[in-house]
Amino acid sequence: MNFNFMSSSTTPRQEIESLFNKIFSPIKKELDPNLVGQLCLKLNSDLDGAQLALDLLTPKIQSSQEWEALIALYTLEACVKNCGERFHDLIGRFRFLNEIIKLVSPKYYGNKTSDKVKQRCIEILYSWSVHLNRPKITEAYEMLKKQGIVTKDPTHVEKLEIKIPPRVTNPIFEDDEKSRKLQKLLKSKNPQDLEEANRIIKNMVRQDELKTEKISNRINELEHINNNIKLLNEMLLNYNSQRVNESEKETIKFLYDELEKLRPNLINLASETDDNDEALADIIKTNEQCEKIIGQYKLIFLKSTTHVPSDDKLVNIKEKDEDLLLTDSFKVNSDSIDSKGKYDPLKELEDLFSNSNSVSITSNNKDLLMSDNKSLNNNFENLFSSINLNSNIAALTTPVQNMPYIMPKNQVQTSSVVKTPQLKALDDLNQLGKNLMEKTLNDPNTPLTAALGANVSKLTSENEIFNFLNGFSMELEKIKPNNQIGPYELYNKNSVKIVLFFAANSPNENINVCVLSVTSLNCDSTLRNFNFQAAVPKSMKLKLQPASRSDLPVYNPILPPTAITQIMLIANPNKEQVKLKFKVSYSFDTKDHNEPDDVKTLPNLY
Amino acid sequence: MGKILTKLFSNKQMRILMLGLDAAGKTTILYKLKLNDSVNTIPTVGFNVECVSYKNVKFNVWDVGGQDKIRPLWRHYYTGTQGLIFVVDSADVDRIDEARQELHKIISDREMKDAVILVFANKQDQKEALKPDVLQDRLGLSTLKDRTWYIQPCSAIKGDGLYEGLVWLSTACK
Repeated sequence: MNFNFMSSSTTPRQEIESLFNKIFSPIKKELDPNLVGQLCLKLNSDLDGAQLALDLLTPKIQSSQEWEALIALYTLEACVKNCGERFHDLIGRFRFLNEIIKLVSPKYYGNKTSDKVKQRCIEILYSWSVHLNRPKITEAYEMLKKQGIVTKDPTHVEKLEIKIPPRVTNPIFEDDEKSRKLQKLLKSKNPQDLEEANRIIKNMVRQDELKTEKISNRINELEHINNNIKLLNEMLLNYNSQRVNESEKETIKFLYDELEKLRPNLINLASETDDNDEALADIIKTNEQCEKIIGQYKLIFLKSTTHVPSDDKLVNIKEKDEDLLLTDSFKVNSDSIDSKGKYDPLKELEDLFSNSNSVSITSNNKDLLMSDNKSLNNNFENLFSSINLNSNIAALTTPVQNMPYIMPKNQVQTSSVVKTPQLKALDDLNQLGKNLMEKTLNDPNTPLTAALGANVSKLTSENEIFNFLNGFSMELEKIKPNNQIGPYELYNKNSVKIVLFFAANSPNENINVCVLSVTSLNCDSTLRNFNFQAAVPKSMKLKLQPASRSDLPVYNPILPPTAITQIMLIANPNKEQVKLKFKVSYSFDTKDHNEPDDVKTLPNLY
Repeated sequence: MGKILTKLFSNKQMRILMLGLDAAGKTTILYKLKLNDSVNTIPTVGFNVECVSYKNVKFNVWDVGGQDKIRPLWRHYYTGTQGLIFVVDSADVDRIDEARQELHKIISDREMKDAVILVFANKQDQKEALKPDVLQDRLGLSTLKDRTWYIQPCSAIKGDGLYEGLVWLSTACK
């Protein structure tokens, strides 16, 4: 169960300390400007960060290890450049300056310090004395000169470019207009003006308290909903229609009702939250999980009466994908069967996987059915296209049990959660299939069966391939790159790139093996929740193996880029040109990217 | 002659700004001085301003709420301040460093550069209270240069040390 509930609970102090540990990693012993940049950002967002950083830096600067001292001096410089007045205040005190002086003064560690470090210290002090208006720094530098430790000013000192960091502020108390008004009122001798000033401040505080209250309400509400989701998920995961007792059923029903009741609150919460608030992502995520679990509940308990509501966006997308794949193995057309007045269970089957997509298929086939008898064959051909009739009923269960593996993982984080209710649904499917099969086989008089018999031999080979694919999975290590067909760029947007590599080897000549490689060149944020879904025309079959990961770290130009890899198998028994329909979604920070469906014809892949 | 008389008899006025962390005892000090009574206070949101006369000096004391979220508003009171009273809870050892940071932030403001600094080392009646000489180091007062400052141990509840502080203020402020 991999719900990511509340965000991390580390304190700013711990974060700063852990960044320090990374910067001064004794394994790397190398400067990572990226990490130092992160540290500066962190210090700017924390009021006491500067003092803490300086306390941590001082012993590092005086380290007997030259590499450590040099990284510390670099970090110090970066902080001076990026962390503004607050940092300058601290380094402009003798308390700190003395620590630097100790390094170069022969009275202290001057004789032990390496020349490189000493040189750097002097350069830094000189540069600060020139560029920062802090009398104590100048005083300290002049003293070094007087003592003969510095004989002449360093020549190649780069210009110290100082950036003014954004102040850590609370917008309520930093409102310019109110500030001006307050200042004016507080200067007044009129007691009424002073009362007014007091009133303004009290209002500010109340406003701030309301805001805090709203935030804590939101956190509580989200936690409550998330707990319900988690609980319902667990119960559905362990749900077994045969063994379930009444109280369990009641609890499940209760949790479901609660969630249905609570879901509108999420919308309220979202509308109350500012667009740029990070909490919005939490709300949206919870909402998605909530919708998903509600969809799953309905799938299990309300399948015969209710369709999954069409406003369940996420559930819908998911089902659509299942449908694309499932209809490949079960091209069951319930309408056609319905019109015969038989096989009622199939109605249920359709309910399970109904959506706009399958409706269109249905209507097509319906027309065919109406036209002549031959089309009926087609229908049945479809119906059993992935069921190996030559074997027995047991064979029917095989593709069904393998089904979960061919479903693309919708969200890697929740895939394990999603699986079981699906399995449950698939058990039902299994049962339906068995019923259907028995009926068909036991009724030799049906013209349908006769018609079917004629086509079986042709179908089996195609089915075998599809069946084979269902149970097959490839290991990345065993894939050999194809030198004939070069990589194919499937997607390149928002600094996310998906490249398709084709394999030279394959388990079967009818199966193409490809490897998706996903890289992110985003230097600012981590890529999260990457999800790739794909479908192929009905004459083919596609299987996506789980992706290697769903997140990619912030791109660092110095390090080799990390990639997500995902193996995609395409069974193409008819050797048609592969048209790949795919959908990509991921997020950077709080921004979700849901790319619309895209269709690409893959080159030279038959 | 007239000048001397004015000096002797007219009340000298001083604008005093009293700041410090929340729960340091600012409001208690103010009303002890004003009413000579120890009142029960609630955290100040906004400010209290009272005129306290002592030995012919009128102190206009601004007692400003010290909760961290309203500290950004302190700067609005700086203009014209002649004396800063910075109140420290001497027994709140954990927050001495926070107090030090706030104190230095205040006195490094341009508007406060001429203000004399009186630190009330309050709550000396408590057992664990730090002594003024320790506090003065911990608050970074010893390293202050070109500033007139004084640390006065006191107990707002008992009233000990408060008037001594005012006396120092009236003499330090010309």
